[in-house]
Amino acid sequence: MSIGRLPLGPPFPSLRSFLARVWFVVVTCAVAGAALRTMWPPMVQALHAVEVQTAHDPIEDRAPVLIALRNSLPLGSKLGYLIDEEACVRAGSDPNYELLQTQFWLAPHALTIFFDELPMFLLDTRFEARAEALLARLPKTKQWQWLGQLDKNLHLFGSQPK
Amino acid sequence: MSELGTIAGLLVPWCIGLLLLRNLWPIAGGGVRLLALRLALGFGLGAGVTSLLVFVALLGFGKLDGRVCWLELGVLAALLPGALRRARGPEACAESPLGLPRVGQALLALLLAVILVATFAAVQARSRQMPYGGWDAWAIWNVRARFLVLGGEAWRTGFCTEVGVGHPDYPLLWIGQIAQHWTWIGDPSNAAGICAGILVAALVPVALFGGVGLLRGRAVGMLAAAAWCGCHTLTLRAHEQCADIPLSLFCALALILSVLAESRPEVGRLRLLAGACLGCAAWTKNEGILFLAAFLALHGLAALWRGGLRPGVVRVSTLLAGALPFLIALVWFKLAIAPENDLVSESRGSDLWTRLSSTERWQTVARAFWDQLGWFHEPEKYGPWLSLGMLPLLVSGGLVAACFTSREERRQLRLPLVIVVAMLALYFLVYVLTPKDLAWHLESSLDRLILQLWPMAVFVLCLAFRGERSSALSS
Repeated sequence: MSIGRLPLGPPFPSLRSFLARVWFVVVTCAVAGAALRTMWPPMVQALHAVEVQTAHDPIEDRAPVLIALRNSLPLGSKLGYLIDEEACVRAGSDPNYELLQTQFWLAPHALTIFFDELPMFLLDTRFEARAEALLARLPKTKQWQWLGQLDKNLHLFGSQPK
Repeated sequence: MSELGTIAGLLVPWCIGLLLLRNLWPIAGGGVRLLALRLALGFGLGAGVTSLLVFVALLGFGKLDGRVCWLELGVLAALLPGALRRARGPEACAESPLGLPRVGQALLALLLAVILVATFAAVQARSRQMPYGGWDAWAIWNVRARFLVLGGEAWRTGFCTEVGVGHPDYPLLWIGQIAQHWTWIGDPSNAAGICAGILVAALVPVALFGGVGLLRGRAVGMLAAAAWCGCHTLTLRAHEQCADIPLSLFCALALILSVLAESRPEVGRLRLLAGACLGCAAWTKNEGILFLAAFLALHGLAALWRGGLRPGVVRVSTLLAGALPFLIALVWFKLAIAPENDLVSESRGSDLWTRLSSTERWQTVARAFWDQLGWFHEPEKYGPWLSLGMLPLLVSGGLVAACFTSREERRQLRLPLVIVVAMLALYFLVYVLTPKDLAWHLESSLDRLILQLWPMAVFVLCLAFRGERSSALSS
């Protein structure tokens, strides 16, 4: 028994077989052309964008600490809310307070700014050093709960962002 | 441990899936097409099993920790003897000659390679730009996984009603896969989401190549894999680490296995595996539950139509048996942990009939579907004809190609075609009835829903091409 073998009956007449093959080649060329038309420009753009980003991102190595901090904040976090709000302001859009109050994680339009500019902003204040020091003292499994407690007392982070 | 953990978090579940597959479908050899199908199926089954282990660990131990890794290794060890014992002699493989001349085959393979390289170069580059993925990744999937891994005994907080957004009612397959990967790494690293997201996206064309290749020959298999890449939505979503691509893999695998079952002596085992893929789909996203229901209903009806009540009951019960472990977990999760689905809760008390009878809503949804199905919402860059999407191209290609196929081949594609059309119709109806703002709902989700159905559509349309008689594997 063959995989996929069907009771096919007698072979096709040769003309039919030839036409089927020709049509398959035509469709294949069209499909390959369409796939390349769709995928080639994004590939070029994306590769170029990565080069630019890598070349102009001196804080790349330090940003993950802050991102990790932001993503470790628990549900309803006020600190997370402040970071989101700041990200929105930096994105040049009015903070959508209602949206931010109901959404724990970053608003989509603030994402790029959050990764690109917010770490820089936080580096300028003492935020990162404090956060990093706090995180470093904790076992990783305790960070999530502990940050939740910290967040109840924003004074721990000193001056709030801006 | 980080690099080792990253590799182990992917490989251990994959090996579990491959060994489970060897136990359930002990067929050896079979050439590159069967290998391709097995690799994709093995990854899917492995992700399903390990997510169940994560769920069991959460319920049994009260929290997720390193013990889940030992559970996985235990399952791996338990599956190994059976897999070795069940390995049969390899099935002979007649890979050549194909319907196309050798130069044609080589050219086609080269084209496919270029397309795949372009596709995945774009995906990995965008993954580097957005290491946390898209909105769905950090508002639904990765954030829940974070609650499971970092939340300790308070992991259920991630599924509380106060969350309000991010669909806390979504099931746990992809969340569990990411969480177990983080447990292996020992840290909620971005690497897990990126690796798993790219790998599962890469396995969809692999599954299509394997499935279509086994049923219609290697050349048509390569056509299917290339066609899948020509979806504009992939350029927007494949790097986002969302669960729509894993779901599309499970749906396509279920369909491929159900068609393959008709041409193999081990029909029961293949239906069982198809059922497992259905269960995985339901355990991944709510849309998968809809797919499971539609698939079972249509398969039951088809069997009833062709052979009467008994074959219908046998077919549906075999599929259900395969899906059972995932369905038990799903029911438990939905009843004991997850809050109510937002579409259901917001629909309560609202006037469904008003929405259903609104001509304007039907027109809006139809326009959005037309835009997605015709162009994948891709901006027109090269004039109307050159900007035509892959679906109209494949439909027209398949319609003409179907004239050259045998009756048996046409009959083979009938039920899968009905399933894909039924899913489109059901999604259409969901949009018409949605209690949410219609324009927002369409804008934010329709492309992902079409992406879920896209591999199935490619599979069905490629089945319209004539099979190559001498390329089938023979025992």
